[in-house]
Amino acid sequence: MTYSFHRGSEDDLIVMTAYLRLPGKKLYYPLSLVLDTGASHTVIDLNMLLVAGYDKGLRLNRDVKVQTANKIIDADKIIVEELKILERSIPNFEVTTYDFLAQEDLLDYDGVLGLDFFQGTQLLIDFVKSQLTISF
Amino acid sequence: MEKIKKNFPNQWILLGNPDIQHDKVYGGIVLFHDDDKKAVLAFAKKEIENYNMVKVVFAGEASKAVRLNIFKVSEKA
Repeated sequence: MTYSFHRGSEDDLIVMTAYLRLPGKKLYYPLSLVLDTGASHTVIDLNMLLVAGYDKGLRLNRDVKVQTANKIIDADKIIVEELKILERSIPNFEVTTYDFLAQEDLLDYDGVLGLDFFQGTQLLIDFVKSQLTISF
Repeated sequence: MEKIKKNFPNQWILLGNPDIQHDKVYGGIVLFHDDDKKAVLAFAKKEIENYNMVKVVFAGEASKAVRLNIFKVSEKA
C-alpha cells in the first residue's frame, strides 16, 4: 500500500494521517503524526487521546520519560484500541503520551509516529515520488 | 482549506466530516474556531460522536522553527 506525502521544502516533515479508534466505538479520530524513523516509540498528545474519549485513568502505571531537545518530560503509556494507516492496523497499540499544551508544544501535529508502528513491515520512503510504501 | 485559512487566519478550527486524503486536509464543515486550542479541544470532545469524523486543524502556517524533537522514550523497569 502506498501513501502520498507532501514536502514543499527540505524543511518540511513527513506527516501521516493515522486513524485512532474511539474507545468502544466504530469511529475514528484522524491524527496528524510526524514520521520519525529516529524515534523508537509512537508518542501522541494526551489532549488528543482525551478528545477521542480515552480517560486519564487508563494510563498504565509506569515511570516513563520522554527526552526532547531541551528537556526531559514525565510521560505515560496508554493502550489505544486501534491505530491504523491505510491497511496497516494495530489493535491494542501501546502509545507514549504527555500533555503537549502543558509543555507549550503548540504544534499542529498530534504526535510522532515511531518505529514501533512499523515493526514487522517493510517501509520504503521514496523522496523522488513523495510516496511511502508499507508492505507486510 | 485555503478559504478556511482566509476566513479564520491563525485560529484553531474544528472540522466536521473532514475531507482528508493521505496527509492533506482539504476541507470540512467548520464547527468551531478559536485562538485558544484548549477551547477547540474541549468543544471537539463534546461533538466527536455527533459526526462521522472530526478533526482539529490550525488555519495558518506552523512555525518551521518549532519541532517536536523527541529523541528518546525511556522507561524504568
